[in-house]
Amino acid sequence: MPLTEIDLLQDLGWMVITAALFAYLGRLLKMPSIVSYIFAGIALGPVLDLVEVGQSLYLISKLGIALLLFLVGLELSFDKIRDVGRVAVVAGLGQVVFTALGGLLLCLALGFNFMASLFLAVGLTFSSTVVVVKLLDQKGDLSRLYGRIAVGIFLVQDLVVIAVLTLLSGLDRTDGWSILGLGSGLGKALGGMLLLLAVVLLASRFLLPRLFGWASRSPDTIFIWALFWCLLTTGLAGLLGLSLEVGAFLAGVALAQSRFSGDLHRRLHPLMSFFVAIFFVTLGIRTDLSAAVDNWQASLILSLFVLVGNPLIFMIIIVRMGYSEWTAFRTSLTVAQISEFSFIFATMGLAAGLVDESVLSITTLVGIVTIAVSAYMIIYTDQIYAVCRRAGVLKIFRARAEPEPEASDQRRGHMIVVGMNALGREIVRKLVRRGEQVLAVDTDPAKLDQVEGAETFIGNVEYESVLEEIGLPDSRLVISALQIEDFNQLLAYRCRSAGVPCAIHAFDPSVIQDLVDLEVRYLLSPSLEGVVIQHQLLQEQGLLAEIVKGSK
Amino acid sequence: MTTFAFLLFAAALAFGLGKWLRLPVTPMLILAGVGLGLLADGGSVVLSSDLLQDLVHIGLAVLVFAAGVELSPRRMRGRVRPIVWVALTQFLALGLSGFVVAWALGYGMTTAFYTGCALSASSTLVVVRHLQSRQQMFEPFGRLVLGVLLLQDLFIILILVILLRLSEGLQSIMLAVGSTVLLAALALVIHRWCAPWLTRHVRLEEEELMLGALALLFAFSGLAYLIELPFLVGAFFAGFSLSAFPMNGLVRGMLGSLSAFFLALFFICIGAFLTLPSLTIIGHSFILMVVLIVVTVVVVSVVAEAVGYSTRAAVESGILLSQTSEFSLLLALAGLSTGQISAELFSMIALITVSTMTLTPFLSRESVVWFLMRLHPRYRKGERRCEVMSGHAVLLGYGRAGARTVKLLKQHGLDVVVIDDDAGVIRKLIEQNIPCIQGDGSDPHMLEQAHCRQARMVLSSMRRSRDAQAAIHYLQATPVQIFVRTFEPAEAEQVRAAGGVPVETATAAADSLIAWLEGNLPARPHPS
Repeated sequence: MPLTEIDLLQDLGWMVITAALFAYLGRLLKMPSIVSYIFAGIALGPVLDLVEVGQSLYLISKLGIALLLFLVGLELSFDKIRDVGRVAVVAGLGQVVFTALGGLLLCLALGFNFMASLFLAVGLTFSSTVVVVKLLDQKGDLSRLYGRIAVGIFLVQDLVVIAVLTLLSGLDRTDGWSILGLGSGLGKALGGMLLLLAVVLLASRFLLPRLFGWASRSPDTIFIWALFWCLLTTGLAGLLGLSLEVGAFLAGVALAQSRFSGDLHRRLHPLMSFFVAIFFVTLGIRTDLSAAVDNWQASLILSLFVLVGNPLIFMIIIVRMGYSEWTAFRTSLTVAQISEFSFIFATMGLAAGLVDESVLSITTLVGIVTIAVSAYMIIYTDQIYAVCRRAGVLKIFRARAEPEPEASDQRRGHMIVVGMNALGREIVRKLVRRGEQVLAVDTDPAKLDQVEGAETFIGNVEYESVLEEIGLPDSRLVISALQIEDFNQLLAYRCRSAGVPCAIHAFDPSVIQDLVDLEVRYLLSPSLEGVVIQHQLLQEQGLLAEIVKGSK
Repeated sequence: MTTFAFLLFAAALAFGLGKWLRLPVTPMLILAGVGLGLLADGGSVVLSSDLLQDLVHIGLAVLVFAAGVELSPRRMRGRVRPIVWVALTQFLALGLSGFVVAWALGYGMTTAFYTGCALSASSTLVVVRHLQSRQQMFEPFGRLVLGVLLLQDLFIILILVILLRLSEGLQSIMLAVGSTVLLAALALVIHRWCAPWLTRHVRLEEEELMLGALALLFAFSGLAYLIELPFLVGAFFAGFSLSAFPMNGLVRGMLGSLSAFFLALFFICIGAFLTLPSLTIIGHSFILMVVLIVVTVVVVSVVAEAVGYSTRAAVESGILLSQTSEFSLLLALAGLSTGQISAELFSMIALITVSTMTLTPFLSRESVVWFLMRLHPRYRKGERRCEVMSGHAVLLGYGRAGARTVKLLKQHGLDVVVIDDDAGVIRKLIEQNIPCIQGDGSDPHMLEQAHCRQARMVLSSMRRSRDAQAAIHYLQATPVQIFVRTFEPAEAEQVRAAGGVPVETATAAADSLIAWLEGNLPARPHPS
């Protein structure tokens, strides 16, 4: 195993360094990170020809997509999906029909022949689950109503994609295709979906809670098991003819009910972010823009159709289903791009000899343009909404003005106690008795079970996302009973940065100076307090007083 | 994706087994990898060897980078001398012993050199996990062990540079060392100035921070590659450049899951690449393991006590360090890739690593520590003054609060006797002229020797609650009151039920905090 042949490391190195560089430059231009990654990929691939996407890189990016959808599933339990099921199905299917029809007519009007128009129209129909979910995740909006509707729509569309792929693979067959074969293919996909759903439901009900409950005190075990469960389910989905996305999503949903799903989500998030970044850079590297230049006018018109037409179609459907202007607008803006599947459709059509190279290059250019522009649209939805509202263009939809009420779990003025050892539990008990709003935090669910009268949170305070979720910046006081120097120092540092006072367990004299330097307001020292209380007890028992009298 | 799924299945199995058997997960992962490799050889599963190799490379980079991130000089502050002494003596003694034994077993000079070097470092992954599970990470001996491990990782990286140039002559070695120093200097500049500036002036999102840290890893690795050093050296110094607080904490949070994932797959892949060792190799491995354990325990115990640690801390440090490191695998892998060592020797080093890592939890049991502590010569000098005492105070265990307690009791004119099992503590007490007995505070003979039944009070700060219970039982029929320090409420209840007086330290600390809050608590926000 030679350590000098490090092709993957070299390629990965180029990708990561360029992505970091573009992300930093993109930050200055307020560019969404995925756009920076795609541009980094274009620089590395089509422009500089530095990196080729090998098998390992391809697998890493696929793993990224699986993880992304797994995390979406982890955030959405069956209950959360159920309430948006109807709108997802109606809007998802409605948009497919209207966009495909509109796209077909537009392409015909642009002078393409029927087959090319058909492939381009199908390519324009589907939106990118990966792009949108990544952006919604970045905004922290996945579990909001519009986020849930968007995810539901994309999953419905994923099922339609499977049906279209089945149809296209029939077109690719040299011996022709029959209605019977097509029907059996579609039936297989539907049956597979039902079977996978049944397996996942049974596992989430009977198998996973026991297994993960047993391992709940070992975060690393849960982490690896969750990854394996995700891959197992995606593998099963593949065997049943379903997409990787659907399998990974259902794997996540199966674990979403568990009490450690939040902690698992936070642990997996950095891994997913890295893999998905690789996916987007890979997407850029594989972009072939050479033929696209010749078709730039058509590409531009079709891009505009996707950027404006798709949201319009959605807006009409979602408003008609009784949702407010605000929710309909936000959901609609998420669909203004085409999917990575569009490239696959075009490639399959080219391979079957049904379309020429121009269809693939137009699809590629439309993909890059719409993904880049829609990323801005999703990130800056609020600003776009304000502009549209001021201009009065939203009045034509006659939507309800009041947005749907959404539960807020934002905490304020509370006290956070980290580490539920005896000291932490005792502090929580005394604070609760004092009438304080207390949030007890620990990584171990068993320790949190022993806490009474306070809200609990499973999580590791090393993650910044945990600190945001527990509302550290809005808290009144943070107390750490942990006996882990690194965690305590980092927590003290973050409290100082947020301007929140903190009390930290100084379990050893050697940790005191660092904590004082970090402006910790109070140092907890059970060891020294023990000496004081012992002294009091000795005096109460008359053991010291007698000696003092005697010595006099 | 199938290969990924098989690797993750093996990892999931290893983690499950490790938890079930309460064993370190690293050897379990390697063994699971061996099993997967055997299945692949038998044709039962198909693994992509290219992907395995790629994962080994990524895993190595992540492993070394993560070790570098932990190499904060701040960790060693105030303990540099003992850490350097223990790390150096252990490294040299083991290296030399390994070299001599391997040479005596008939291996060539280069192979013996590799064996010695592979034996000389201990496992950061295993020891840190062990210390964390026992909450001993930041006890004095935990800090010593941690410092020693980090320094040894640095030694291995430097040795790697030299070993890989061994066949090219002294000039080439000097050139490589010079290049390493340059890379280290660059890392130091980033560590000292750039990283702190960045944390002060730029607020980075989690994703940007992670990408930035990884970009630095690849940039340093690429730089190392350009100046003809192993990329691992670059990865290590990239980690070091981010090891200053608070950057190390911020990066650790972001890279934790990434390194957990890649390290799990790395050890599985290493296992899958191993060839089964012959009986001779197994025999040689056994001899080297015995040498490793005996030399480490003896050398570390003696040196750690000599530089000021208690006997218990010294013995526990010795036992905890008695395994080979994941860096030994790295070294062996480097040797294998350059052809300096054979696949069989690689398997031998892997076998020693797996076995010694697995043995660590068994060797570091309390019973073994106690057994070894009893081998320590007793200091009888401190016992002399106890013979004539009555109406005095007896301290069972000196602990963190011992000095303050003794001072307080003396202020009240009370004579004090300390019973402690630690020879190092006893030696210091003798120096301070405090009457003391070396032994177990739960042992009736020791309690009798300290005239506990004639004492005015007995104060226990022994770690194990069953020891305190034994002392309470010994004093049951006497009017002597025994005060026992407790942390958990259940312990306090036990003490109370047995007739002792619990000194509830957690409650005391919580009360004190609540009292502080009265005058210092920030006002509640307005409901609006």
